[in-house]
Amino acid sequence: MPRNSLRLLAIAAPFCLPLATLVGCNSGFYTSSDLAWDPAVLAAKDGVYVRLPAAGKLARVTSDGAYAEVDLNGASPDSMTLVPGGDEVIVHASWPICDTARKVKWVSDCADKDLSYGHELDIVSNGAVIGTSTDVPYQFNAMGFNADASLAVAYLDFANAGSIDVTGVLNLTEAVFMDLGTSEVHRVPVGFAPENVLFTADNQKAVVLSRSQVAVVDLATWTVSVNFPLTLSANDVVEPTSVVLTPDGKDALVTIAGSPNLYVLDLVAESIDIVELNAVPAALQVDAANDRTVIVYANTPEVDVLEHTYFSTKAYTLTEPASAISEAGTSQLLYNPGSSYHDVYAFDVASGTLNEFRAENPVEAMYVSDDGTVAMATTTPEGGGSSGDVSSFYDSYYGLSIFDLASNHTPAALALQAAPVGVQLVSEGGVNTAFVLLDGVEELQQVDLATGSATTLKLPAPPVGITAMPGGPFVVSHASALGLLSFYDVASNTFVSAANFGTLGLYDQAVLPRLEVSK
Amino acid sequence: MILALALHAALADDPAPVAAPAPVAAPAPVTAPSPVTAPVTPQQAAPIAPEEAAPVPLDRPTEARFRVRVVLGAQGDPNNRFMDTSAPLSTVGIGAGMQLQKHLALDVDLTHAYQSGTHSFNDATGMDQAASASATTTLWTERLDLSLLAESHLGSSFQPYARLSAVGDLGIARLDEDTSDPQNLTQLTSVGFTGGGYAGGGLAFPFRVDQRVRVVPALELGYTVLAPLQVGDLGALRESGFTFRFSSEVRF
Repeated sequence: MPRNSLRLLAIAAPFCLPLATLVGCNSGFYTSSDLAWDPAVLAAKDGVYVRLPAAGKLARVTSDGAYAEVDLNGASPDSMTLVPGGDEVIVHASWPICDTARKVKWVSDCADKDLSYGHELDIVSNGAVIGTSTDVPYQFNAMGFNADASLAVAYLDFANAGSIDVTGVLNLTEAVFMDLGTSEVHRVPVGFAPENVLFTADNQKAVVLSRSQVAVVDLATWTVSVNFPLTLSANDVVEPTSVVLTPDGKDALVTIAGSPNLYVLDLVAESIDIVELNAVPAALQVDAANDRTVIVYANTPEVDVLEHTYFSTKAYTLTEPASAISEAGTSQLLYNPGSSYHDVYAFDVASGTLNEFRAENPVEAMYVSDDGTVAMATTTPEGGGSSGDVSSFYDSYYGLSIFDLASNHTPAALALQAAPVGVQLVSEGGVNTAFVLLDGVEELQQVDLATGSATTLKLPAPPVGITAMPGGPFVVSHASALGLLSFYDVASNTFVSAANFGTLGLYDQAVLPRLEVSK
Repeated sequence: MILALALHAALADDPAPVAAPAPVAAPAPVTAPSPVTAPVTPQQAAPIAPEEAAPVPLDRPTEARFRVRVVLGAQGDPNNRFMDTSAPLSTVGIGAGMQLQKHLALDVDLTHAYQSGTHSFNDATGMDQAASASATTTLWTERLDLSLLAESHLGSSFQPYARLSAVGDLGIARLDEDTSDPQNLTQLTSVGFTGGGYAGGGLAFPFRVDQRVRVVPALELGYTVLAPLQVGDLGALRESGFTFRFSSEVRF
């Protein structure tokens, strides 16, 4: 081999390895088992609260696009609930504990047998924790609030039973009340599996549904003042499904799973009356203005009106059954979401007048304007396809049906490009407008509910949901790995985006104890 | 040990440099020979210098004073969640230097490193609409080394040396959901600076090209210690670790 070639080889040889590295080995792949952010955000008055599961942090994003971590003292938010009114957010949080004598700094260095988690409930407002309690069991995954949001109650929601962790002993017979002002906690035994709690309007009592009984809790003494058994035999299991209170707070109306019987509990006289209905009720709605309760049935085309003096009913016949009720001004709107039915009724309880509307396709969800003059339903496709007429064409699309409740006609049926993923109605200056987000479409559809005309606003990314800050802008969540929210101010017709808040603390390594934070 | 080797190489009593002329004995004074014909006796040889002490040949290489090089290498294992790869940072760079003394040189090197990866986020509940999203992670570093080299001249075909460096490192880390759109909102770039040191040693293999120029490939191994590179919300990147350098240098 020529000498020059040997020299060339000697010079080039050392470069082969790094060149190979440059070409093939300079990439990595890291997978987090959790999302960087949870698009199910909570819009409070002071900002939007976002869980960051991968980092184990809580972030607050404000309408100017800024964001910051909410200091939970080293704990990670597991779930959160917005307090009605939007002044506060309640956060269930947990933190790691390594029970070992040796010095362990990193959570990852703690043996599984030594690792456990502490739990607490934090009250967060203005980006800071203003109250904490460790007395609320973390498994209590549902919360209710009294009328003025001064008192919260935590209970087990068995609809999400799969998420209930039973470590050690879990008491299934109590409801936990928490004073949101003082963080004081009261645990009240109310019967097996309490899962629906209602407060009286005067905040003096709470009605707690549990298996085969209904307990009334005196909120002054934190004791059960009266217990209503729903069956006379311990062998019979009666599952209450819903409860409403009459406007005077004297009576509680309780429906029972699979039963046409409506239990009327007199909270003052402590007596029970049973009203036999024509079928198993699907929904109850108290019409306070007329002191009546409206009852509908999923499979019976009938609406009943229950008066609150003698608890007698008056039945009105429908063309199709209704299973849901929404209050719309002076009327009650009856419809049947998630079924194949198209009919929507505006029912005037005082006069007993039924105005029938018909949606072009089955109703999926119903939205009513603040002033109660107009309603809008999202509709789902129902087969459709090839016959070449307008009905067949419309059947193949998601849609919007708009109902003018004042003039009793349907001004518009709109076909949608994709499934709606979020709807918000706003009434401003006497104009009712619907803001509709469509799956995978980077536009906000702005629909004038008077005319059905639609305009679009460009979004920075495909949306996944929309909510509204109390008294503030709409908040659009976008499909994004690192976090993307858009704040839309209707008055100024402007968008402000906040991005990348999901990276807060994303690359911090969890340390022990909870107070330490390491970059 | 590397440092000890370097000091040893620097202070060792090496042979005299080949470029320096050896002491040459003065030739005997030359006078015109006497016209003596007989008797002929062996003439006393005048003391003369040995052949080795002859003046420096014209083709002897001159001592190189300056050097420029290109460098390729691999630096440590980033060993952090941001990149999370077992591959080292690949580096490419340029450098220059000058000979301070016979065994001591000063070098400046600027090396660039680039690494990219994917951070994937899965929804543990399997219920979320934004499940299984991902972002591209990218890390660029610009590293400046100011080095002192202690070089030994043990052999003509290879030269061991030791290097001690002060290191400054500028890092740019980026998370980007859509690298095809440079204006996308979900792109987060953070810049950080860190410093530290490096110690290493290697072997150079000089080849003479002509009287004034030599090409010197070299292979080097060392260890870099750098303070964690803080890049905002993207955390602290650890760049310390074993470092390989492969360079090709021109000395003149």
